[in-house]
Parts: sequence; C-alpha cells; structure tokens
Amino acid sequence: MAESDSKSRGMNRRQFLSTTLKTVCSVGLMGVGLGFYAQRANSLPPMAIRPPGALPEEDFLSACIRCGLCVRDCPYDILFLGQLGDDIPTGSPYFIARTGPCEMCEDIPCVKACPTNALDHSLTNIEDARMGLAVVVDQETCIAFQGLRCEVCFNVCPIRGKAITLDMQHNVRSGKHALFIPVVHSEACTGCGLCEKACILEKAAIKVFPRDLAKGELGQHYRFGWKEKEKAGKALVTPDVEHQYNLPEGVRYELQGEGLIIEKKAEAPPQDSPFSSNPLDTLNRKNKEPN
Amino acid sequence: MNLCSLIVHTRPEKGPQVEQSLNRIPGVEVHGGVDEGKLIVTVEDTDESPASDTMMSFHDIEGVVSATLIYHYGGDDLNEEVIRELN
Amino acid sequence: MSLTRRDFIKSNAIAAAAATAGVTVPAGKTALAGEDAGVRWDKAACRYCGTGCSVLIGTKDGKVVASQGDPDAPVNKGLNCIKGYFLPKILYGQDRLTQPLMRKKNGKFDKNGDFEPVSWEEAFKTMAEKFVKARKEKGPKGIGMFGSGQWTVWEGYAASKLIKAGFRSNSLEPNARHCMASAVGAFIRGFGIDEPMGCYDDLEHADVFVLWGSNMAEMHPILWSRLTDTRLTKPGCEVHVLSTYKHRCFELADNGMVFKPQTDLAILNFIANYIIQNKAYNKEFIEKHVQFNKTPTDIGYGLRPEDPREKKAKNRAKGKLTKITFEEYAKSVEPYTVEYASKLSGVPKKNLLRLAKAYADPKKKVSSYWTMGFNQHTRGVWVNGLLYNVHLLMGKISEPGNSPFSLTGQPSACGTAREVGTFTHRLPADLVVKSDAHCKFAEKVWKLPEGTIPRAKDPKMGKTLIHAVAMHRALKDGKMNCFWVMCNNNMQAAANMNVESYPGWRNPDNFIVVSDPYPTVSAQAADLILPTAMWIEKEGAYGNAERRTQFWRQQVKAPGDAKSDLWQIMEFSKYVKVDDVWDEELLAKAPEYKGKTLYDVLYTNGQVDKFPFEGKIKDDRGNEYDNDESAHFGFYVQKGLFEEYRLFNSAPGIPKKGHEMAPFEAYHKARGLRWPVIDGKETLWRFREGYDPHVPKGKGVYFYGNAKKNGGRANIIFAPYEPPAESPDKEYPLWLCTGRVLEHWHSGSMTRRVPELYRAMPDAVVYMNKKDAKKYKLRNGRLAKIQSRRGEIICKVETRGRNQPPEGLIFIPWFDAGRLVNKLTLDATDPLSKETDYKKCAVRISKA
Repeated sequence: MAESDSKSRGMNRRQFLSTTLKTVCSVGLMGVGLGFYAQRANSLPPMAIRPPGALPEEDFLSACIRCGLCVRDCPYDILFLGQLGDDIPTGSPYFIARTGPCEMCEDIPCVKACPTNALDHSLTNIEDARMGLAVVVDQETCIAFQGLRCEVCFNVCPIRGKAITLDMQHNVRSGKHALFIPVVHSEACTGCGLCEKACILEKAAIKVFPRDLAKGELGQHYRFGWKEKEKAGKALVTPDVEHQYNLPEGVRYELQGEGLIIEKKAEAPPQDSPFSSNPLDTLNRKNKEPN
Repeated sequence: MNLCSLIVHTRPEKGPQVEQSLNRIPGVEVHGGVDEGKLIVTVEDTDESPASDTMMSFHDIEGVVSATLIYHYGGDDLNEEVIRELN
Repeated sequence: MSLTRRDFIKSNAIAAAAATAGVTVPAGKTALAGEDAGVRWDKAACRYCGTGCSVLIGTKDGKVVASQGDPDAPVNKGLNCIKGYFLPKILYGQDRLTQPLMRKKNGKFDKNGDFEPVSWEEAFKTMAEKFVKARKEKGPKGIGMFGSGQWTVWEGYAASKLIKAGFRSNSLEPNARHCMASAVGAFIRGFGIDEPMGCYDDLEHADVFVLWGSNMAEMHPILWSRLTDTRLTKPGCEVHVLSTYKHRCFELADNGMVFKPQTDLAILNFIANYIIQNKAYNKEFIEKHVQFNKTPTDIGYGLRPEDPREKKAKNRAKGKLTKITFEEYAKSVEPYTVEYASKLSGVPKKNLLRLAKAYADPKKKVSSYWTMGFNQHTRGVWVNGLLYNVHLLMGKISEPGNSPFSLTGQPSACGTAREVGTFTHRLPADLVVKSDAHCKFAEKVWKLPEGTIPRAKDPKMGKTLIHAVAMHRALKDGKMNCFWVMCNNNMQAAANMNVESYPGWRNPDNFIVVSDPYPTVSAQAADLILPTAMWIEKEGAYGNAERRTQFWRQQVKAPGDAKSDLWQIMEFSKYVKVDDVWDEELLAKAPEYKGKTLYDVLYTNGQVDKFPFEGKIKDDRGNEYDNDESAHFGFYVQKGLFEEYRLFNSAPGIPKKGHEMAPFEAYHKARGLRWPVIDGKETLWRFREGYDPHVPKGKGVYFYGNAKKNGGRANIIFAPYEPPAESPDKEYPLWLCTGRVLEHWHSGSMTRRVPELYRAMPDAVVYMNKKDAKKYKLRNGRLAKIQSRRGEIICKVETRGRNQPPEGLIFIPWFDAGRLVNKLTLDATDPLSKETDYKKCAVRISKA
C-alpha cells in the first residue's frame, strides 16, 4: 500500500514540476525572446545528475535517443527529462539529488531499460555506478564541523563506511568533546545523492556534483609517500639499519612510534597475564589515589 | 505591479561590465552571481517602463548571452506595509 | 529591524533565482530574518534524553526565534545533537492540540463517539465523576495514572500527592518503568540507594570504556562525543562494545563483540570467574566493603499467571537475598569458563579474554556504561547486578574513572520518576510504601492523618501495588476502569499492544484520559484528550543521569487553551472532594478536612502555597517571564512544591539521608547542581571519602545506603544464566530487537514533527543481515512483512544501514507511529523490576 502511495505521489510531483517548468519557460520565452534558447550552454547545470551508468556527457548526449524508457522504469520516479527551455538538453534524463536522489536499486532497472547503451549495460553492480560525487561544500555551516552530533549524511549513505567516513578529531574549543567530520571518498561514492537529500540544513552543506566539477587533481609529479608504500606493500627504499641511542635508564625511543618514552618505573616484561606473579601485589593495593 | 527575478547569463569575463550596465537601468538591481556569469537580477515596473520592456532591453547589452525569468510577482501594488514574524 | 512586504517578496524572488542558478548571493539579501536585537536569551535543559544538555533559548515577541547550545554548560559546552539543533521546532508542529477533546454522541460522553471540543470544566467534571466512581466501586486499583520521566520535578511531585494521598491509591506509575526500573532494582539491592555513584567526569578519567547494551553513539550523542575524545587523546585508552548487533559504537571499538541475546549474563559471570581464578580481586576492598549474596533462581518472566512459562517457574518473582561466603560465590561462578561463555555467547574467546583482562588489570580505570540492553531484559536486575559484581570485586567504583554507570533515556527519569518516586511502590527520596515508618513520615510532611497513604499490604485495602504492565492487563480485565496517561505515549510504547494495551484502553467499561501536546497514537485511543503546555511553556526542572538537577523559567505561552501537566493535576484536584475518596474512619481523624476539596488539602496546606507570586518572574539581568500556573493559582507554585519536596531529603530527622538538594533559588542561578548538595557544595563521586561528605573520616569507602542492613557494605549478588522468555524456533526463526535512532526521540511525537528530522529519517525500517534478506527473498528498499505470535507490521528492508545485525536477528526502531513495532513485542518483564524486555522476541519475515 505504501508503495503504491509513493508511486502516485511521485507521479504527481513529476507532473507538477513539469507544468511549473513549462509555465516558467513560456513566460521566459515571451518576455525575453527565443534568442537565448539557441545559445543555451551544452554542459549540464551542476545540480542535474545523470542516471547510473551514463556515459561521459558528450558520448551520452550522442547515444541517448531521448526515449524516456529509463524514466518510465525508475521505480522511485526520480528521473526527469529535460524540457524545452531548461538548461538541460531537451529530452535527456536527469535527477535532482536534493529532492529525489537515486535509491540505488540492486537490479538497476533504468540501465536495463536503455535501448542504446547510453546508460552503460556493463554496469551490473549498482555500487560501481559513478553518477557524480558528493562534496561537503560548506564547512562553516555543516554542524558536524562545529562538533554537533549530526552525521545524517554518514548514516544514510548506502555505501556504508566506504563512501563517507567520519574522521574523529579532538574538539579544541570545548576541550572534552570530539568532532565527527564527514569525509567523502571518491573511490567509493556513487553520487546517488541520498546524503544531499537528507542534509538537515536549510540548504544542503553536502552536495552531489558531476565528477569533473567536484574532483581536485594532484600535481602530476607528486605522490603521497605513505600511499605508495601501502601500494607497494613495502618501503620503496631500503629501511634504515636499527638505530641505537644514548639514553638514561627507564627511557626508550621508538623511531616509528611515539618517539621518546619515559617509563614511570621499570616494568615487568609483558606477559600473558596482566598480573604480577605475586598475588599479594594485586591484593594489597593500598596507595589508591583518588585520581 | 510586477516584480520579477531573472538569471542573466553572461560570458564570464563580461560579468562586471554587464552588471554595471544593468544597474544603470531604472528598476533593475543585480544581487550576485557576477563571478559565475549568472547574474541574479530583479526587475520592477517603473513610471517610464513596465518590467517586461525592461527585460527585453537586456538583449541589447553587450556580453549578455541569455536571460531566464525565474520568479514573477504580479499582484497588488506592494506598499510599504510593515510585516513581521519572518522568523 | 522592520520588514516590508515588498522586501519580503523581493528576497523571495532573489532566493528563487539564486537557487536555480546555483549561485550564492551575499548574506542579508535573502536572509531577512533579522538580527538578534531585542531577543531575550535564557537557559533551559534539553527536552530529550537523560544526558541533560543545556540550551539557550532566544525569544522575541512571545515566540522562540532562535536557540543555541549553551557554551557555559559543563555537560555539552555549547554542543547539541541533531535533535537539539532543532529543539524549539517541537513547540511549533502544525497539529498542536489547543483545546480539550472528548468522545461524544448527542451532546454526551460516549465511548464510541467522535472527539468534540469541550471546556476544561466539562472535561474535569466528567473525569472526576468517573474517577470517583471507579475508586469507590473497585478500590484503590480501580483507578490509575501513568506519568513520565519527562514530567518536571514538581509535576511528578504534585501527581504523587494527588494519587497517593488524595485518591489514596498506589496506582501511580511512570513510563520510567519501561526504561530504568531494572537499574533502580539493582541500585537498591546492591547499594540501598538509587542512582549512579559516579558522574560524567568519569568520561575523561577512565582508561577503558565498556558499553553493555548501549548504543551511546546514537542515544547519548554528546556523551559519546566526550568518550570518543578521550579515546582519541589519551594514550592507551581502549573501548569495548558489547551488543546483540553491530551499531554505530562499533566504529570506535577496539574490541567489538556481538553476542547472542541474553548471554550477557554468562559473559559477566565469566569475567568474575576470571578475576577470581587469576586472584586479581581487590582483597582489602572486598573484606571491608562487600557482602556476598545469592538470589533465588527460576523466577519466571512476568507474564500473566496462567501462562505455562509462569506455571513452570519454581520461584516466581522471588528476589530475597541469601548471604553466602566468598568461597561459595567463587564456586558459583566457576562453571563460567571462557570456553563456556564463548560457546554460549558466540563471542570468540580472545575477545572475551581481552575484555576480562581490562577489568582485571588493577592499573586500568574502567568505566562501564549501559542502557536499555541491560534494563529491558527479563533478567534486568540480575544483569545490572552482575556488572556491579565485577566492579566491586576489583574495587573499581566510586572514584574518578572507575565507574559502573547506568545511563538514562529520559530527561528526568532520575530527577522526577526516581527521586520524587512516582512509582507504585515509592515515595519521595527513596522512601517506600512497604515501610510503615516511611509512610508515616510522608504523612507528617504532607500534614495528613496517619494511614492516608495506602501501605503496600494495607490492613484495610489489601495489596495495593500495581506496576505498568499489570495496569494494562487490569484495564483489559476490567479491574481498573479509569486511567490517566500524562506526558508519554504508552499506547505506542507498551509491549504487546494488540493483545493487551489496545483491548484494555477500548474496553467499554473504561475511561481513558490522555494529556499530550500532539495527537499521538495514545490520544487516538483515548476517550478524553487534554491539550498540554510543553517544555519551556512552563517553569520546569529536570534531573539527569549524573544526579544533576536543572531548572528553567517559562519562556513563552502555550498555544490556545493548552495547559501544563502541573496545572492539569492541581486544577483537577479542585473537582474532587475529600469526602468522595476518603473513608469515614480517616475523615474522623481529620474532621477539619470534611467538605474540602483535594486541592485544599494537598496544595493549600500552608507549605505549597507559602511563597507569594508577584505577577512576573524576574532574572538577575532584569528580564521578566510569565508563570502561568502561579498566576492562575495565586502563589509561586513551583517553588512551594519544590520546597515541600525538599523536606523529604533535607529536613532534620529524615528516614534516609543522601538526597540533599539546594534551595529552590540556587538552581535558577546555575546550570544544574549534582546532589547530594550539602552546604552549597555538589557531590561528584558518592561513597568515597573526600568526595562524599556522608562518608565519615577514616572510612575510605562507605556504602551508607546499606548502613542499617549490613553496616554499609555493597552487595555482590550471584545470579546464573537463564534463557529468555521467547526464543526463535522453526515457525518464528528470527530474533527481534527494538530501539531508537539518533534523529528521533522515543515515540517520535515531537521529532517526527520537525520536518528536517523527518526528512533525515522518515520511517522505521527493518535492519537486517544481507544473507537473511537473500534467504527470505527480500530486497533492500522493498517492503517486508514481519510477524510474531501477536501481530504483524510492514516496513522497508534495510541491509546496508547503520545497524548491521548478525544473521538470525532483525532490528526495528519504535519511533514510527505508522509502523507500530510493539504490535510484535512480547510483554514479558523482569519479574523483579517489572520492566518489559523489548529486546528479545521471536518473529518471521516475508515479502509484503
């Protein structure tokens, strides 16, 4: 019952939106003349996201025959077709993440419906889709950056724990709380837009953009050393011979770890049990400071 | 009376120049988007020119690629009645 | 800043264009909301969970226009969770109730009629008629009131007086029975006094954190943020998490353990056994401060007596402790080896050992936290106690960082339900109706004749105690005929609603009153609905989980004819005459009360009405506030009630010490004070010399709650593993666990009316394992039907969500009024605490 409900609601919303768009654009055409229409930019506006499996924009536009079958087969009715006067090439499918994100059906019916491979049929696992990329666009308004406990984007993300992770940091201002900072990982994010829809701000602080808009690119010459080491599975240059240090008693130095470690007192070597071999040491604990 | 808002697309490098030209027209205000080449513009009726004519004139401005009407208020004259409770 | 209609239209126009273009325009162009000039700021405690964060409320022209986390509040330092971020919006839901509504036909009350607006007078007249009749005909259990851990302190106190002293009935229960009763049971059995010994500062001082049946990451978000910070910044700090399914806390866990439901009992006994086998226990502490006991076993499941599981139980609901020796205790836990615990629980041995070692290491300070996983448990008192056993064996208690800490789910489960004692068996400040001396003391404070308060086993009235679950059963059986539900949503919250709750409420003999700000599931099932002023629409006080009592002033007026719970309780008492509900014998003891109303006797006794009201409440900054109750009754109601309540914990000669509160005014000047407050000083850790003034010099540690019982020792109580009431079988092969999510609070009656929260988490889903979904031919995002022996619901499947259950278990949150998971749950309770187990019953699932 709920399903048919959402279906009919979806239809209404779609009809509503397309009529509104028509009205606006007819007024626009009358008021401003047809001149602008021909000059419309070929690129997609940033908030319009192509369905899963869409080829790169130029290829997509030449392959897409504007048949609307993907729109018809979307069970959640999130897909629209560009209307005359939109910034979106007429008849081509897209969705708006803030109002209707991709629900990531396991069987990907929109791709199956595409007769021309404009939506690539080699996409069979929806998690491999790369519709766009979520970006935390505003760290100043995102309440997680201020230490509030929100994390709604993390919670709704269907690529759980991979596409969005929480980077936990010390909250310097409060001194005793942690920040839970959402971080998007491009290697896993499908751009479905569930996070943008769920963002609780008046205007979403996390938004999905087409990938080429969203992604920075590292200088061709530079590598992150620790990532390269991980990739190679070993250090790229032979590690040092073991270092030796002049140190007083009770002090150690861990080169790759904490650095200088001053031990409070010499401790028994680590063993399987946390207890002293003499039970009396444990039993007769006397000097228990209050803190 | 009429009050409209539009997006005026410009060639990005022409943004500031178009902004100046638009601001000179009575009843027209530019509110932002200059850097993006997508000017957010409001147009109101003036004694000399109804909003629709003003909008038509945008196309004569150099650097304007297109203008898209977004919002149109066409109700009663808007007096300066003070309202509250925007919160 | 004045704003014209023209400005407004224009800002809309700009906003629309900017949004379409994806362009940001300078602030101010669209944000005409105005500046903060003329906004009055004042502090208030958050309305939701037991953490007790403080917020600042900005009001202007009688409306809340802004809010912020209170940067000076020690609990949250200006932070909020997402619910707190939207806090003021709970006042402004579109469907606030603004007038009393009663089911009527042809101008008269009719159980089968439709709701029609009525005046308060008609509402209270009808109510009084019904309540008096039921009290007369069916005795003290013929009526009942079901209150709340969300009541303010004085609301709970006024209700306790009305029911216990006015109506002379012990049929008063809070929803805290569903929430904290097991924790209370274990505090009383273990320490002879309720509530945690530690405080939130343990979060910065512990080396090891262990979570038992608590999804703190979502349910106590700000405390979790503090715990996380300690884990991040303190070298060597580790976090252990135990649950029956993976949840958000596992993200931080160094040692995450998913155990089979109910086997926490075995794991805890294993840890105790490990400590003893390795001789790690703190001998000196045990010798001085601990007594060993055992508790009767095979005690049933709190079901109806005719249930075969109850008939089979040898010691149904028995809990009397028997003293044993340390050696006997050691022998009792001996069978709980790591092999046995691992086999039973499904947790790998190495994880169990790591956990046991953390507890057993004398150098590590351990704080354990738990919530509903422990409390909503058919062996809830036992399992709470088994954890205390572990801490007591090590002496890791009552000092910074060493803390067994029971977290609460409601903002004033501690402050109101527990401290004021709005339970059937309790009176204020840990006094109980079982004790004749305690009743006499209460009668003296209340200036009432001896014998007014019904004793637990009353010489005339017989057994008078009736707990929450029994109330619904009594309604169904027609033994209780009038029921007033206030400040909670018990139709949605109580277990087994199809079989017990709903038939009980709709029983034609019964009259059900629901007081609520919104049309909840409970309101829908009621006969009379009373519209309620909520949260900062009244002056209030809450007590959080760390014994912190916090006050706030009335900030705004309630809409329409909505009135606070306090007003409703006191105003209603004017409609009942003492002669209607007291017998001749009692009246003869106090002839001056003849012909008086309950209002006269209870609330204008020279104590409650002692403080005059000057028309406005003023703060130290010269701001003025309304106080609608005081204006109506003509005296400073909240102060009068609080000061009378304070006699129970601060007057000379009180029966039980340890709950001292500061004077009323002190709380308006501080962001909460942690009791006992003695000579203006708060107590952070109880029972430890130096920290707690009740501990005499030289004692070190003193569990003074047990002073009379055993000279001030804490009780270690052995209890074994026993299976749950209902386990999965062939017909119903899955465990069902219910609970909450971060975005919604409890039944969602407030948070589901905040659009942003609703958008973030609209409907309840069934969290399940991917393999189970495949097995039952279900798909993520599609609908599934979940059935138990008691009912069925339909909801969407979620296999990749925040909660990741193991195979064989599903989790459904209960906030959603559209998907009532309590149609499925079983009303099995802990026979000792009478708290329902919402975490374990058997269900099956199929494609809807």
